[in-house]
Amino acid sequence: MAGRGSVFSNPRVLSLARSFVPAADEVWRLQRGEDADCRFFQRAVNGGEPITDKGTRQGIWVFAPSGKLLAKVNSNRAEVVADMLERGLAAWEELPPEERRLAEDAELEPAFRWEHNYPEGGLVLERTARDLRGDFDSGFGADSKPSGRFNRDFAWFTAEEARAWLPAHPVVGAKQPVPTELVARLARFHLVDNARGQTLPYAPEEIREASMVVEVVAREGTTVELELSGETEMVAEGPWLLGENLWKPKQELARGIATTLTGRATFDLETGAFTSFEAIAFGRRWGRSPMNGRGRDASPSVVGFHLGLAPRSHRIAPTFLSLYDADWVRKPEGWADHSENRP
Amino acid sequence: MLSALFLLALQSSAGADWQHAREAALELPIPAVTVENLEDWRRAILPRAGERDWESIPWITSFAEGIRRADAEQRPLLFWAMNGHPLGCT
Repeated sequence: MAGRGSVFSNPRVLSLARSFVPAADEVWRLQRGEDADCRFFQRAVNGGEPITDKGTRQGIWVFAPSGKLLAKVNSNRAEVVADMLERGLAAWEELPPEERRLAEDAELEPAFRWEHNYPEGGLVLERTARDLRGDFDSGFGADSKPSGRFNRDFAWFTAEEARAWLPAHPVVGAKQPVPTELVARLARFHLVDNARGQTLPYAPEEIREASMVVEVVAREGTTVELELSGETEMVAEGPWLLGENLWKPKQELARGIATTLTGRATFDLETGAFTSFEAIAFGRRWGRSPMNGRGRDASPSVVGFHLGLAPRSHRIAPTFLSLYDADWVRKPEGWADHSENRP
Repeated sequence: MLSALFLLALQSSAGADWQHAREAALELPIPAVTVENLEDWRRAILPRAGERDWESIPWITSFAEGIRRADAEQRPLLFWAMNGHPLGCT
């Protein structure tokens, strides 16, 4: 996450990046999976052999399309990355044409990616979480300088689930609770403390509160204006309640977050889709999880959340999609979680 | 017996700690948000101009597609790999 600000905002890196085809992907799957793209990646970074060790392959890499590794580094220092990119470009220039091209019979297409579950026509939210250093009483707000620690995730709802946010008869004044399972999805997986880094999901038993109400405040033809309000609270006392899966931590750490949410949205009954959606939530968090960056300071603080419609081009799977309680989430054949390397 | 009592005391202490932390968190002041001031809070939470530079790079969102595009354009691939998708939650 730090690389977004420290590396890929650096003018020299941005300039060098224009000489490449830039791509980004989740490496946990690539370095352990058996899909064609995973095997290709593993051979590319591991001297032509599948990866059998547990060392991380996170980092910034330069490859020829053939899969030949030209340069690599795992650093959040812009100058170090820029130097590596220059070495990669020099290696590319020296590479014979026959070593550049992707082999005609190269297999790259994955049989399964979580992104294959993308809910076409559904509600796809981009969720931003930011640490807030708050003296709210003295006017903290748009004009203040909030913490630079923020993170992004996506929340997915199918078209059918999106329609379920509204009252069946959406006339002005109609008000209804959002279905519990949909609010629980937000509470367990998205209104969580990952502003500083990845965190853990919550189990259903760890929901103390998950309620949201939608009210129709205006309607014109098939356009329905809505206001949202809700409360969530999650408390993990320590023991892991989500079974054997890749998120199972090696430490038992207590943590929790209580949020208050306010929002507004517009739904088009004709297309059956939200045309706008915006919500703000403030989460009062405490404790920590193994990777969420609270190790040195787990004292309570406030996290601000923004939920808005994601551009259609953003098809990154939600972090905890594999744990969604939803029958539309297809899992890869022979899906087995791997817990051995998680903290 | 002694070790069991010690463990019980430790668990009890840990339980008291997290309950104290929760209570302290719930006492933190949070601002009042209304549909009228949503925009102010949007600006406070969403990345600002200087924080979005990394998004100016036209990232392809999968390794396989990146390799294919690099081959089509005969350019080297710059590949950013993280636990958690670098363009999502990482």
